[in-house]
Amino acid sequence: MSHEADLIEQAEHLATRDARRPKQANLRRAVSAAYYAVFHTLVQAASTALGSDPGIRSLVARVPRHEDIKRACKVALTSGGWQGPLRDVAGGPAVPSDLSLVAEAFVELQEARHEADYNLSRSFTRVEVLAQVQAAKDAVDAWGRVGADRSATLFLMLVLFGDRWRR
Amino acid sequence: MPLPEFLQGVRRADHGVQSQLGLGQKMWSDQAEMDRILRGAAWWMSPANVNGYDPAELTGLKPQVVEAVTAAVERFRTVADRVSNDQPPTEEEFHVALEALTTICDSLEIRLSDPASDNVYSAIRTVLSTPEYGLLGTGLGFDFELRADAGGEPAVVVWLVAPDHIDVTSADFQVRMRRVRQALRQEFARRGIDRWPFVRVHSVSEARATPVAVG
Repeated sequence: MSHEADLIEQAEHLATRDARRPKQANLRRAVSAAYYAVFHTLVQAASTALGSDPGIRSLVARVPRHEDIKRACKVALTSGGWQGPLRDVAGGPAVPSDLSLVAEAFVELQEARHEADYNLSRSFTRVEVLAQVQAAKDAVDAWGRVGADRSATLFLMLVLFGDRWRR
Repeated sequence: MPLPEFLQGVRRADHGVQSQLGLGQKMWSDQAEMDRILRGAAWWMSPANVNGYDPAELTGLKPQVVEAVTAAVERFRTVADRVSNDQPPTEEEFHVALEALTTICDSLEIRLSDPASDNVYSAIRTVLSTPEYGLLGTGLGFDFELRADAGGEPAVVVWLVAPDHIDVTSADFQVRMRRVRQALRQEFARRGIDRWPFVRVHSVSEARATPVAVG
């Protein structure tokens, strides 16, 4: 089983393990595991896009920054699709629906993960967390269907380099 | 810190009412509409929404106003205690709670009074009123919070309230959530609202039991 699949399984386990009143610690760790499943899916895809050499890939895997990936996702989710130079490179404005699904889940999960780890004043509920874990699971599956088209490659470029291409 | 908790709870209940009824909307125009409203009232008619009330903290208000608020809090709590997660309140209970909440909000001037909140509220309501995007057609309502996201960018967190029996892991539910998010982004863009909408869901029983986050 892949690392991402293990994280999803862990998230599901933590979200459902308490039969009656779920412990906040379990719900919070479930959200975190779900987020990292999607994060590592994208990081692995971005590093693979630069080549098959394992050494290079492991170095590249350290490059993506959480905020850069969020920005890439927001760009992909912009109303009207790819804009400006990105539109020219992608060959049109359309963002594949599976890519949109991944981007949307990532933005939601990153915010939830931040709250889960740092905002102890608010309570998570099981229904909320189950919905988020399912969204992560769907995102990991969707990424497997995205394939290697130009939109996906463009998106991975944004994942790796953020908006520094604007210089 | 009971007063902030109380104010936050009252705001949540008020958002719940407004999300069901609409600002200024005549709400009991027909029985079917009234039944729908009653089915969705259990989550905001929660005693947790008046937790933390302490009249001694309402400094600067006239004694008769504090008295009116105290009585209204008691009326709200009494009727909310009788409501259960799976049984809608009666019309009479609903009206008692609504009147009590209105008294509290008017006395303490708690309302969606700023233009930014009004615009966001209206955008969310527009999207959720559309049959194509309305979450499961249950009319259980929503709550929302304007705030900055983890990166400091302007955001809105929208809380949808779903019936307890809904399976949020189903493909149908997940598709609906994505449609709601997309529609909200488009509606925000159309209205010039520069905030990212985050959309969460919880069940009626969770909404009733969950204490509000303060701070």
